[in-house]
Amino acid sequence: MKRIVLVDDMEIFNFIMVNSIKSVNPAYCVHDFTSPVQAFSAIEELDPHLVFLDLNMPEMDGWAFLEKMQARNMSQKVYILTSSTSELDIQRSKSFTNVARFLVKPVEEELLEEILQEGELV
Amino acid sequence: MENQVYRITYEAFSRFSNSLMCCRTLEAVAASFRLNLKYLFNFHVFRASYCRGNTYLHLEVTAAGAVITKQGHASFLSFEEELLERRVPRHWQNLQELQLPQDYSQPAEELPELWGWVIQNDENRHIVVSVLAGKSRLFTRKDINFLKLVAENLEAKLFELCLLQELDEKNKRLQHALDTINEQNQVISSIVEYQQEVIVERTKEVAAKNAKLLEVSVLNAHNVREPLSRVLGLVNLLEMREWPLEEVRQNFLPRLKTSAQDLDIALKEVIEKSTADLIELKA
Repeated sequence: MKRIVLVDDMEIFNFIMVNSIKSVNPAYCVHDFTSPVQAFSAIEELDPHLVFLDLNMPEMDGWAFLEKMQARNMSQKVYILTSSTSELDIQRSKSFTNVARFLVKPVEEELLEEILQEGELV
Repeated sequence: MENQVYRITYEAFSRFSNSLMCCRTLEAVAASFRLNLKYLFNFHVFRASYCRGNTYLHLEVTAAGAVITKQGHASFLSFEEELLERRVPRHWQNLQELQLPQDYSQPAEELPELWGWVIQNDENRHIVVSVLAGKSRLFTRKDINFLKLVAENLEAKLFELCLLQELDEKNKRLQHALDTINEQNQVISSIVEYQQEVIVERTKEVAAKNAKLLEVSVLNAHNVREPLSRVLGLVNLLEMREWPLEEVRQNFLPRLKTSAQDLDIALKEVIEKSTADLIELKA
């Protein structure tokens, strides 16, 4: 079954995402982290199918997270999930090959379903 | 014999004329008269009065020397005024009533006579000349020809010197005007330069203010959007399916409340910051 990692310093977002994903398919295995540092070390172990990553976080922000992944040649699919609508951020996200999409919070149910089904057939 | 006298006088006149031609100042004119006039005819006092505009020139030649005076107001002797009025040559033998100056006085036995003319060089140019003569310095009608030549030459020279002086003054005035214009130009260009500096400076300030305001507004929008997206996310989640009331009460309401409060705080901060920025930028 699909393994999903959530990285967001704000617990409420993780609450929303966990429940949203469970609503779409209760069988998905969701791991949520409010600490990006802990999330990063967990990724190597969990090897998730996809990661939902917040950008604006203390300790290690989303960009540092992505750079670290790049440095270690980690290719897990990342969906950026942020409340920022900044065009600059959108452009910057395109420089990471493992970033699949740039999502603006909150994600509508239909879009989430679509994302979770992406690659399901592969 | 008379021809001989005429020839000698002509030579003297030629020397006088050459000497006068070279004069560049009124003083030089006086010096030339002091040297040369006595070879042309006899006199106690030779006087010439010339006027152009507000300039009055009086040349007086005596045995003691020659003086030329320049005055800014009418300063004719009374007999000269009479000559100017009537414009006919005069020959006075009774000098008592003429109110002549001190240097005209001669002993009675000298039998002094005063001759006077207004010599017209053209319609607007004339000169008043007069000669005081007497028994020992005899002036006769035969001398009048030379006197007229002298007067014409003198008038021409004084006219020339006056014109030169006027030209000089005009040049000075022009130069002064030019200097003033240059000074004004400098003032104007320094003002323009200053204005340009001010404009550049103000433009920079305005651009900096705009950039700051833009930055503030972007920052504010992000800060506000974060808690707002939590509220929206929770509401979306509530709509996804039926939730047990207990779960809504326990899991949703506190999170909604926290998010709504964070949104409230963020908005208050925006208002506070924007007001502070506006006050700062206006200052």
